[in-house]
Amino acid sequence: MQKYPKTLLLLDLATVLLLAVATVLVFAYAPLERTMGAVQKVFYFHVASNWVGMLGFLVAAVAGAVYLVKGTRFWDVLEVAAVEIGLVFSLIGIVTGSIWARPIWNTWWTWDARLVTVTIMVLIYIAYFLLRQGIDDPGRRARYAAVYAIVGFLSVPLTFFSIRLFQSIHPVVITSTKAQLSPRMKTVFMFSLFTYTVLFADLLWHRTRLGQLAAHLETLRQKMLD
Amino acid sequence: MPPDTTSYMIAGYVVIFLGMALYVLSLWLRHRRIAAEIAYLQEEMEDAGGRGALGR
Repeated sequence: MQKYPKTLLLLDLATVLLLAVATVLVFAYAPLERTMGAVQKVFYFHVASNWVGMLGFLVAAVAGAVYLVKGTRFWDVLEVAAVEIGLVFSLIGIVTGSIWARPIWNTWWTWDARLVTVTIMVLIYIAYFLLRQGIDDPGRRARYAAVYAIVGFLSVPLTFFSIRLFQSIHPVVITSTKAQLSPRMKTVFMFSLFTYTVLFADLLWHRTRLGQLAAHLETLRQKMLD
Repeated sequence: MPPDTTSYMIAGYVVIFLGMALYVLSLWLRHRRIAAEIAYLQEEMEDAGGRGALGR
């Protein structure tokens, strides 16, 4: 049985505390937006969720590259963990975006450039798990998945820059010159991004431990069969 | 006066917190299942080792 690291426990506590503070800031400190009303407050965690999604896919691509160089199982486990977390948060981002769009765009969904690219991105990473399930040999599975995670990452900058490259009704909040937010909104936004980054680190650690435990189980099963 | 979009805001945050809670729960459940399976296999291996030693 793995021992529970003290640093992880501290990270858990810091994550819960930061999430609580961020939630209080969203509801009690961030001002009410004049044209959209209360639904605009979804923005803080909606963007942060999408940020974690993209960060997860970036970490997966880097882990995939390191796996291809080193061939160590740990990097494969980390890669799976990062893709899984990225997928969960991207889906949360899509659903919250849809809820936000309903009163503002008067529709739950529209085939806008951002929405199309984010859908493609999510489908690519769902296919990542299908690919893994389709290969029995662990070494070959890890190699193919690593290449897929690297190539699949191309969808991430395409999604991020889609609202700048194509005509889109999705707002561009942060431009190269300034953020289109009031100072209080900006503070809460930056704090939410930081909180979610810590949350990502915490979840990644937990999910990697789970992956290592699953790998240990696989080794034991193999020993029993031999 | 801004429009009343409070219900959408609540729905958004329910999705966010429920989504995160369900994911954490899934991590915990998977961890518990795998740990139990490892403990069972280790016990089986020890038993098999013990029987092997008696057999010799």
